[in-house]
This record gives sequence, structure tokens and C-alpha cells, in this order.
Amino acid sequence: MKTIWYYLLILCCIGTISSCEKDDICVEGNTPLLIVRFYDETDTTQTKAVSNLTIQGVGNELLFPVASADSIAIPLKTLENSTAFTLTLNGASTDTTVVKNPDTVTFTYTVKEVFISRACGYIANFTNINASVTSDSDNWIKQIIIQQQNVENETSAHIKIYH
Amino acid sequence: MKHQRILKYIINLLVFALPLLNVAQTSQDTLVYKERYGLRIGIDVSKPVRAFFDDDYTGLEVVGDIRISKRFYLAGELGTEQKTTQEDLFNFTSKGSYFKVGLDYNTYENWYGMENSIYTGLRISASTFSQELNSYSFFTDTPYWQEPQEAGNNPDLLREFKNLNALWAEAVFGLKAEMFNNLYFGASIRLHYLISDKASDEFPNLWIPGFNKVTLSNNFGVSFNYTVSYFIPLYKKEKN
Repeated sequence: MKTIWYYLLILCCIGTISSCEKDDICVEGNTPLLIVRFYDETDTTQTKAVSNLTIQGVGNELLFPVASADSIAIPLKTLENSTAFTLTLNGASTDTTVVKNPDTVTFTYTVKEVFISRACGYIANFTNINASVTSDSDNWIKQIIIQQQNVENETSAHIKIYH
Repeated sequence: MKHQRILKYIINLLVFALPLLNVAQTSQDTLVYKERYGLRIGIDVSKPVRAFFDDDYTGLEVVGDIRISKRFYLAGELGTEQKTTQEDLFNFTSKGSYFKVGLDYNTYENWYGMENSIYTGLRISASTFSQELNSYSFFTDTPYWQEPQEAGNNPDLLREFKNLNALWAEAVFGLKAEMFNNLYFGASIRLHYLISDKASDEFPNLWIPGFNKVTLSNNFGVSFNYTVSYFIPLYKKEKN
């Protein structure tokens, strides 16, 4: 009879060990957003806020929320190799006398899939990123500089925009 | 004189023949019990049953053991499995075959005439398999551009990753009981410890045939089987 309890104990230990796994919620990783910082074109070391900025993805009806006036984090498309955003100076202004100035910025990149865990599956990293501004009659964006070619995390700015 | 010599000869013969009388006395009249040794071959019935009910699984396992001493059995299992797993954000199919070999130790003291066993054992196991990623979608907590779960489309990823293999050790606890003449029913539970595995660069090994689900944070796994085996007797040996 003693051996039965011995085997039951072994069974319980095995059951406990086998069920040990992290919760099935993805906490180990995330697809990074593109970090863009706005700088003064005349004094290139100073950040410069964009007044009443609005962000809209080209092809998307919804506006994307602005994180702060001089630094934004925007999502890139994972199923295509380019994403375009319309950044509008004074877009959120309620003053009817102020002219809203939209500029379209297009980012092109290569999507790289990274497997994180069973709960997360794959996240996307964006490599070899390029940025260009569509020329129009009045560009408020004067220059775009690629600060980091690969978007793998959100620790520092990837793109610098001078205006 | 001649008669005397003959008499001496006859007496000597009788005296020397005396010890021979002893032999006749010690004839064996005790019955010696002999245990049967042989080969047991069977299949794991839980796998075909599971395959019948689960569309995403097929599997077959052949089990066998040979008794090599009073309490030790040389045992092995050979099987093949295929399983499709749907995770939160991706779906994959794992298929392949495995081989396990090891020793079982019978801890049960059988009464005369019985041949049951409650055993513990060890196995060393290996599997070769492939995994195919059927679908995946990116995880992001900013779903601005696409609906969550919109499927990825990279053909380098949505393919079969071949020539994967794994090696692991198992501790086995089980029992086998003779239910009918030479027919044994058995059940066992196993604790696995993954020693090594060769995975593809893009997709890790998440389900290995014979090992079952691989947890990425530790190297342990569990499996069980329910077997029906037939005993083929080969020779008999004294139960000592």
C-alpha cells in the first residue's frame, strides 16, 4: 500500500512540473514604433515643437494620437514595405485664421520577422529605413535625417525632422 | 588358493560398490518453479483513439520489451506522430518519428504463477521531425494599420522547416498486468528532460513527436501511454 502513495506523489510532481509555463499573454516583446523627433532647422541641436500637429496615415481614415509636440511614435505597416503619413502643421488648431499645412512623408523599409515566444509569436523589425518628403507648394518640413537605419526598439529617435 | 583369491576379489568389488548405493537415495523429488522469459510486443492504443477524436492529430506507437533478468527488462518504443497546433497568433504542424530505448525495473514481487509488473525505468529518446508554419500574424499593441490577426505573407516563413531533431531522457513509471493468457495491458507516465534539439533559425521547436509540447522556459515535458501487448515466451529460468 505504501508504494501506491509513493507513485501518487511522483504523479503529482510530474503534473506540477509539466504545467509550469509562463502565462499565455505576450509580455516579452512588441513590434516597435518609429520614433520621430522634430528639430529647429536653424539651430540643429535644439528640438522644436510642431504647433497643433496632427498625424494621419495615408490610406487610413483615423488620426493617430500625438505623443508630444516635439517627439512622436508612429506605427509602420508590417505587411507592406512602405508607409506614408500626412503630418499637418496646425492641423489641430481651432483658430480659423491659421492655415493648415499638410506635408506627406513616405518611409520605405524591409520587414524582418522576429520570433519572440509561444504567446507572442512574431513581431516585426524594420530594417534599412528610408524617408522622403513629397514636394508641394509649401513644405514646412525642410529636412529629414535617418538617425537609426534599423527600427528594433523604442529607446531613441530613428528619424530627425528639421523645420 | 584360487578360491581365496576369487573371494577377495568379490569382497573388494562389493566394498567399493557400496558408495554407489548413495546415489540412488538422493533422487530429486522437489518441484522447481521456473519463470518464463520472453519478448513482449504491443501498441499504444491511446494514440489511435486520440487520432479518431482529434482532427489535428495522428499517431502510432509500437512498444516492446524483453526480460533480461529477474527484475530487469530491456524496453523500447517506436512511433510516429503528426500534430497541428493553433496558438494565439500562429498555426503550425509538426510531424516526424521517434525512437526510445532503455531499461525497466520491476518493483513488484510477483506471487507464483503471476507475471505482473509495476515498474520504473529510464529511456534515452531521439526524434527527427519537421515543422511547418501554416499561418502567422504580427503582434503589436498599436493596431492602427491592420485588424489584429491579419495574416503575414512572407513565403520564407510560411514553409516547412525540415531536418529538425531532438534528444531527450525520460523517467518512466508504469505497470503491466496480464489480463488474459499472454496478453498484457499496461499504462505508463513519463517525465522528459530535453538534452538537445536542432531548430531552424526562424522558428523554434514547439512540439516534438514523442516529447509533446516544448515549453521554452524549461526543458521538461510529460507524456503517457496505454498499451496492449502480447507475450512471446522464449525460454524458462529458475525463479531464485
